[in-house]
Amino acid sequence: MSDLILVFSSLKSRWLNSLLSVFLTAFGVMLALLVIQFGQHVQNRLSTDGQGIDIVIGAKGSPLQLILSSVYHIDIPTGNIPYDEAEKWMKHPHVKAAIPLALGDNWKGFRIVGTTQDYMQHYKAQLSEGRTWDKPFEAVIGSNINLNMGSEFSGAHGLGVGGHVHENEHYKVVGIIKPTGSILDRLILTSLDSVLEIHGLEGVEHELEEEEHHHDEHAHEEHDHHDHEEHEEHEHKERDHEHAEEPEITALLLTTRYPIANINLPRSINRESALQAANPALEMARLTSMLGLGTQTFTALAVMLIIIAALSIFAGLAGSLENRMGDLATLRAIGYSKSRILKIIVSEGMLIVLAGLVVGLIMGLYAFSVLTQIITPLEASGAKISMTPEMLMIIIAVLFAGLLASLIPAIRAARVNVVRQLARNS
Amino acid sequence: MMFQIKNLIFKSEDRTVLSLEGYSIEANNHLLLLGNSGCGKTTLINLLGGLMRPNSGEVSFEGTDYSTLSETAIDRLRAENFGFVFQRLHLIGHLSVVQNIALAQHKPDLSNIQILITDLGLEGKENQKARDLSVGEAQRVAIARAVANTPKVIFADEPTSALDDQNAENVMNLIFGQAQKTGATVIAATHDARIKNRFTSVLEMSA
Repeated sequence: MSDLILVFSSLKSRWLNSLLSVFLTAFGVMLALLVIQFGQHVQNRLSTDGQGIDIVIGAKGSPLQLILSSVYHIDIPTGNIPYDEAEKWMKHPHVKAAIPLALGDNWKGFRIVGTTQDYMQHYKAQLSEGRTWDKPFEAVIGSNINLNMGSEFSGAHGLGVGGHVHENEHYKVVGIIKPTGSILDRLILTSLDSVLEIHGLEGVEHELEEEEHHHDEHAHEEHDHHDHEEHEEHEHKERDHEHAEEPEITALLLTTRYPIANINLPRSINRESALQAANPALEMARLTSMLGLGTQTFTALAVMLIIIAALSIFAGLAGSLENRMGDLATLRAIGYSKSRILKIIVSEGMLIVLAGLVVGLIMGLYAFSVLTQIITPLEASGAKISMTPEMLMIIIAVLFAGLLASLIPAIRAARVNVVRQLARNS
Repeated sequence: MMFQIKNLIFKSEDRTVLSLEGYSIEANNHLLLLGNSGCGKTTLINLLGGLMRPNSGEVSFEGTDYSTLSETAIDRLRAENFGFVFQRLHLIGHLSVVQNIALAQHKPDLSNIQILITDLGLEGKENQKARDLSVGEAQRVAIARAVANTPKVIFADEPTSALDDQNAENVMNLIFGQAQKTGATVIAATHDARIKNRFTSVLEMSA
């Protein structure tokens, strides 16, 4: 008879204990999988979305909130800042590149971001369809946004689902960005003026263009008819909004020329202006250490569950061994070798571990997909399962724990005193 | 010569349980070890079956001295040559009748198991768990398991001691019936003199 039948039959004969061990292992594996996967996801998001952004300028408030809202788009902004004040820092000699962001509206929870096309270039975004915006209320959408080319939509006030819909102004989709694996996939990008205008603020695009003209003489030696038309259009808008308030933006993303500027510039800004400057690297390190505390707690819980599972396997095998010594002595008497008995008992433990591992991985994958659907930031940030070296380590650790837990009773079983056991049972 | 015993001494806690200067057992010479409790008959069965090692002396089977064999080699020798009917049967309760019999086969042979089941009147009980069998049925399964590997020797320890005359007769018929079919030698230990006449030789032992 196959030893595997003996193993299955033995596990089946104490099914409640076996099932408990399987589920303890499974819960440990599931928790470990979730901790690792979500940790990995947060780490990826932080590094991809924050790359190349050295300083963020915004309204006074929590620096972490400023970074989260303007770099990662997962919190509400600290407020708005006057464009004129932000502009001063855009021109600072230590600043290599500056990207203004104007937030405030959303479409079905996806943020509408008024910005310049530098924002797309920063993430090396390429269009899969259409073109970038030429004029206000033209929009380029990220790959996760469920809109088609040419679709028209209205933004709703606020950054979450709901809010007052700006019925009078319609955006038109003129371009779709190829998946970037960054925050851009989940944003609707438009010109800065689109967002300013919709909120009754004066536009700034002409200033930006003039800025570019001033800085890049060669590129603007020739003004074609189209440029003139645009300029006239801006003037027209200006007349329309002669009662509009001073322009304000939500944040300014800066890339500096020198690493030292990442420390010095925020100090100057915080000291000399009413603005707040935050360093994403510092804030993220702070956040990671806070998250790390949570992650460590969950990791400790997962490790504890796996240890409990291993102990339960040990207790199950060792506890049942007392009642099975007679059976094992019989097997030895009819010719089963010590090593065969050892293999049978270890197989029982390992079968429980394997079942727990498989059930745990399935439960973990299912829990991951459910959690990413019900926890909005995870859904919004496109959390996906991925095989990591840590996962492999968990699988190996669980198998090793199971092996260790079954080896001790197995050695005891293999050393059964045949004659004494047969006599004791007779 | 099937078994050869020389200067055999077995002690337990400094007490000599068994001492046998010399003894031989021929093939097909069915041997009964007869004696009261504590006379060492079960010990002798265990020594002959390779389940324990003597303190001194020699036990050899078909010319092979057990003391020259490793533990694994003795396990293999036992699996290939011996069958055991224990006093309390020692069936594995969570296994079926067929599985209990198959345990003893070092080479799987389902047709042989089916023949045994028919011979021993266990038809219809094949898939019944051993723990659910009656004492009589369990006894038959234990005998089937003892002969499932077509052994050269069937060891039986007190096979009839708790049985009435009729059942003792039936059990001995089954053991000898199977031994005859497979050509096995039966070596039994008992204090039950009722079965004495079944054996070719009787070794009367005393404490």
